[in-house]
Amino acid sequence: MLPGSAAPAAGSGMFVPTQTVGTVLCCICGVAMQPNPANMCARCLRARVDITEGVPRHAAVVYCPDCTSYIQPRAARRPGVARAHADPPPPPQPPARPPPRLPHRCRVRLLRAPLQAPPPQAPPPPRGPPRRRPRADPPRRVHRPRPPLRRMLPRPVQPRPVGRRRPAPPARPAPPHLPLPRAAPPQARPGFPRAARRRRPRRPRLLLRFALACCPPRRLPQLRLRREVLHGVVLEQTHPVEFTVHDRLCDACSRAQSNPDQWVAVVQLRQHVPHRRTFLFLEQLLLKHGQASLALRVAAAPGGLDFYFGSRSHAARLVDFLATVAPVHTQTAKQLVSHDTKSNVYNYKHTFSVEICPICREDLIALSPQVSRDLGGLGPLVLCIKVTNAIALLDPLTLRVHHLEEKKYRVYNFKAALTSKQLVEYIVLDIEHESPEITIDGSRYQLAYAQVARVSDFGKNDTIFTVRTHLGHLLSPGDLALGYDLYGANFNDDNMDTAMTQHSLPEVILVKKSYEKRPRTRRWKLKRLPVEEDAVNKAKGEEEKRANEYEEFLRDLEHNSDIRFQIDLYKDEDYRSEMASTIGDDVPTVPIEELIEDLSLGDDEEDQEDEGNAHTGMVA
Amino acid sequence: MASRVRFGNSSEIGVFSRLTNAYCVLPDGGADNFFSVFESELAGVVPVVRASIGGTRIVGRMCVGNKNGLLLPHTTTDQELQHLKNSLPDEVVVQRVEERLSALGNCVACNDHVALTHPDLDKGTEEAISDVLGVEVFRQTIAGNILVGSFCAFSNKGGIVHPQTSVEDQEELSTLLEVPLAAGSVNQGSEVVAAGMAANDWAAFCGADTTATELAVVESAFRLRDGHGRPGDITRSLLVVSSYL
Repeated sequence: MLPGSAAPAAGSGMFVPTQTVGTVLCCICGVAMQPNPANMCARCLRARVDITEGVPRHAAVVYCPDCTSYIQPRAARRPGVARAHADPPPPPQPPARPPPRLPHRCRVRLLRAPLQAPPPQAPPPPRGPPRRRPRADPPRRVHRPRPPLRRMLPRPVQPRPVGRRRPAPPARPAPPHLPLPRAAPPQARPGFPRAARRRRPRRPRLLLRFALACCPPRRLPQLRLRREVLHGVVLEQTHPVEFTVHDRLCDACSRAQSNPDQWVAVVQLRQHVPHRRTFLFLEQLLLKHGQASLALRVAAAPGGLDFYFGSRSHAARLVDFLATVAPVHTQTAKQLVSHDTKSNVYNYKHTFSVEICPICREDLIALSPQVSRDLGGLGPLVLCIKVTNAIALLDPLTLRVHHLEEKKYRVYNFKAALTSKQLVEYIVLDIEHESPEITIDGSRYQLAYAQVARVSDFGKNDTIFTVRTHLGHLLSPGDLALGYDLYGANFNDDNMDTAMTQHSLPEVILVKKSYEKRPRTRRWKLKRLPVEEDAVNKAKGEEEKRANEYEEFLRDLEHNSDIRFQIDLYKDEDYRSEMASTIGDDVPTVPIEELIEDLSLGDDEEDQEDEGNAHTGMVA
Repeated sequence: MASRVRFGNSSEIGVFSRLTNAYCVLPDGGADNFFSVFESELAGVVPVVRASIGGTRIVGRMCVGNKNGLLLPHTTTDQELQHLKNSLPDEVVVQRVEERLSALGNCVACNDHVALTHPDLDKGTEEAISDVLGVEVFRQTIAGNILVGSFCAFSNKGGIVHPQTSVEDQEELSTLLEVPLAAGSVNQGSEVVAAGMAANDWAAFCGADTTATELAVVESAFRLRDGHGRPGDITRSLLVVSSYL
């Protein structure tokens, strides 16, 4: 038995002799070492092979000081970059800076490219008042805000020829990917016979792959390269790259500097109704879906909002979104601003006129006999219960629901006979359920006979109405409810007159349950779009009116979970809980599970980032 | 002494030569420098035969032999066989074997007493090896490689094996062969040692890429430095001595 033989391997029962790795002499310098595929010690290997050959040591980054973005030049314009490498989309994780591309011919693998914003080396240029900047054509830009101001204190400025330069640190020795002793980094490349270099075997093709990783902040980017060298030996090396930051205004910013108010497309969103409820809701929808983020500005206009965009496609995107959430009718127009026939360039200003149907939730509509017949004998009195890109009409007396598309609506083109402004408060005296509770489109209804009296009549007369209502499941004797007073209302609607003569209409149509309207604080809040108010909206009394409308909207959200689920509600950090007794028990509130914690960015976050990165630095 | 030599643009000279203690087979045509190096070393001691095998120049990989005989693959033509029979000394038996693995040089490594063979070699071939070459045959692998003829080279004095051969394997092989073995490389780290060199008991040729360190390893492994020169050296030195007397 040989001295190196081992006992039978546990488990398999097979005899496995031990294998002691022998030593061979390095074929160049003759030092004893463990054999490797090149049979060369790491030192000789490094001296012979420079895996960083062809990888640039200097790179330029273009930085737009106005929008604080790093601009990636188009790949097609740069020579020496293979199309195939430029084509795949950038890695899904947004890099802090566009990754540097390696020239096509150097077949190394980029293991780690820790890249981050450069530390400010020069005092910032004097900045005027914050300019509005267009965000047109941003796809190739990576937004990276400058470090906070306290790090930008003035320092002695050294003259720099071009741009800001980040000096290269001394190369750190990297252990090779071999079971070899640590070797010194390659210093100056020793002169090696030319012939020997030429005879190096052809390296196998390796896919160029970028692996981006975090890196401690304010350190220079050190790429980690891996490349296969002689006979399948893989070498790894740290490669410092000096980045020169060139300040240059990007196209959009330079355009904006010449004309700060530049817009290319405007979306004029209008609804001809006396309230602003629809826009308050749409504002929340746009915020949730980030649809207005590309807008240069949003301005209030009589009867609606104007969204200004730097690009037509951004405006078209908003229009498309609106068409999915509201019954809208869109018209487009364009005006030629300038043109250059020689290069076939035409600049237009595009206008999208988007009109929302003037029918809102809770509106009472009297259908004309023809429409009523078309809709299968619906109504003629119907309530609008929901507005999406179709209008849902409910006959409160029969619980039939009909969804009317925008196109169909445009054919009938009816108006609301009574709107939510004209709701009257009633007190429920008695309820008699007529049928069991049913669910239509996710909403519950129950037909019932209700005895109601106007709250305003209290103490004046004994007028009591007995009406049919669809709110039987909500109402109980003693509750307050809002409804349309057909008995006392003045109509200016032909269809209503026709309906009144042909049908025996109820005196009251109850619309919703009412709760006490004491002003109260809420533990949630909504985000708002930065809307520029026009002169009309700044008129006296307008402010209060808008505050009331907003309060009404918030109350609506509290009462109606269906609407609430479509938008984002945020926790209000300033909320102080009220005394429990001051809130009526029956008043609906928003459960805390529905609220979203708001994201806040500040200096604290950066300090945390420092700590986190220090940790990763130790690991790496 | 070991010398460096190049065949054309290739340093893999073991591919293009079969060197034994009784003869040397080199390819036919081309690369004059290659032949002159061999002939200057071997002239007058052993015959240097130029031949092709199966129409190829890779004679070192196609045939296997020692001082007793030479085995040729089935691809060898009758003309080539006849030419070799005519050129080689009479005591060398030249025989063609019907072996599926026709690159015999890759599958068999031998000296004048022992042969290591590919594990999958035919029984008939094994018998032919033992009969014609007069050796004891062992089916072996070298550092997990079955091409024993490529990854080890040895003479009756010593030899080198694949650099990644474990210490235990080296001991086992040298016990079988009864010659000392060393792990080494040729041609700047190439582990295909038999393809990069050709050696017999008193001469060794390495590829031109072989470094000084590798050459030193080869010389010490094949015992080329310890005074035992080529067969004629002793008589020549005796002549020198006698001239001084």
